[in-house]
Amino acid sequence: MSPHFTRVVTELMGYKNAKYMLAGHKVWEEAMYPWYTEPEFVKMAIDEDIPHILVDLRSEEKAKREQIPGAFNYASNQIKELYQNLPNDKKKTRVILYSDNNEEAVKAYSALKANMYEMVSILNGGIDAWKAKDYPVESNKIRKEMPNALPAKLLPGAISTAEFKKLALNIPPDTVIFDVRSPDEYLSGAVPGALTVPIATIIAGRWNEIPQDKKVVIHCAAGNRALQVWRFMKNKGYNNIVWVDGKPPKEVLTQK
Amino acid sequence: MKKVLNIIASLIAVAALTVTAGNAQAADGKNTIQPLCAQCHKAENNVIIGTVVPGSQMNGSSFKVQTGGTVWDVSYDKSTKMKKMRTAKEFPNDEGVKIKIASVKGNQAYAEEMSYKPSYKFKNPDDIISVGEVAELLKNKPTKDGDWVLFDSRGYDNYIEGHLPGAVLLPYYEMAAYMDSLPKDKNTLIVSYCRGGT
Repeated sequence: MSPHFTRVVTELMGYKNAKYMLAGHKVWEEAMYPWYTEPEFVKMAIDEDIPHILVDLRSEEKAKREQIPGAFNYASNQIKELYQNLPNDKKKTRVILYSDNNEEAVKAYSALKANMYEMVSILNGGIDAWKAKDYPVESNKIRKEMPNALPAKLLPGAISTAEFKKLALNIPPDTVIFDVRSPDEYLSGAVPGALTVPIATIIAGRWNEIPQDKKVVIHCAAGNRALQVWRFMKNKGYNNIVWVDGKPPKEVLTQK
Repeated sequence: MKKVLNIIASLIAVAALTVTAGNAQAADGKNTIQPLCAQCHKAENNVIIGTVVPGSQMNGSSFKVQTGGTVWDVSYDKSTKMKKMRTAKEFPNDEGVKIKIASVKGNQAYAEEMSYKPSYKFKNPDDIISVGEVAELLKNKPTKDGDWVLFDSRGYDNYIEGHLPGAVLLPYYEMAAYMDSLPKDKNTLIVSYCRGGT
């Protein structure tokens, strides 16, 4: 998307100096550069039970006064203890760190990244940004004991590729599958019976071709575009809609 | 049919002149290739290589293609051969397309064959910035009124889950709704990123 974006701002909008980070954010994170989560995501994680470990890096004294609900308390000088207590699955354990001091949050982030935790982030703006949204806080709760493992759970509105495979091999009459990839992608292999409407054209106006009286399943090549269409349609008032988190299995794709 | 052949014959003659002239323009001064596309593709006789003008592709029988200064009105029907596409209707705006033309009159061309040339496969090395360079730039905070801005071109949900420091959400697919986030000064350095590679 960023190469497209760069082309549009330069060729069509006249910006003289535009570049894109081709390597992408995955490489950024792997290089252990800091990575920030917005308060909206933390709120959603709490409300929708998205498994996560939220860590308050401030002093216990401050945390007792007020902290984000459900936070574990490991002050910035207890990173070793934090590391020892985290669930063991370094690939799938989502850790969100927050503080009132960005430098300390970055230090803790770097320590966990250096120890191979893959899903680590810092709450952007710390607890102040959280409070600025009028999100709830709790008092007098200090937590140290962490679970050994977090349950596996998909993001809101998501279905797994395994579930998608079942649906795609035998599309129920009340279900319609939308493929939001671009023409060259779906012509190289698509789910028979799926409707192909590229994401750009959905947002440009073809969203009203998506029926409201059926269960709608959105898929793309990896999940990002499907998620974006899902959010877009949710905002349009569609509720019976899911997105496929991941790459469609080969068995369901047929060349046209 | 004879008429069509005549047109083709005259086109070939025109194209021959063009080749001797050694540029990517038809004899009457029309561009047949978008300068950006010309970095990798060569101008060919009876071929238009350019980008789809936003919104022009929706009627299912024609669309407009921009090739530098020239806008072509390209019509097609069931007999038009299509590669990596089925109808121009499903074309994303501003995407690359290569059209072999069967006949042309003024700026109106009839397509014999069209193929989709997705622009995400095109990478200009000068447009690319490395992870390390972005980290270096971040020593100065990106702001709309400052020297540089940093945009996350993915969607809202990806952005709130995680983004680079100082990055602002500006989803490529929903750009129209986020125009206010762009800097006023066209010389401001704009850096964007997404998941990577595309």
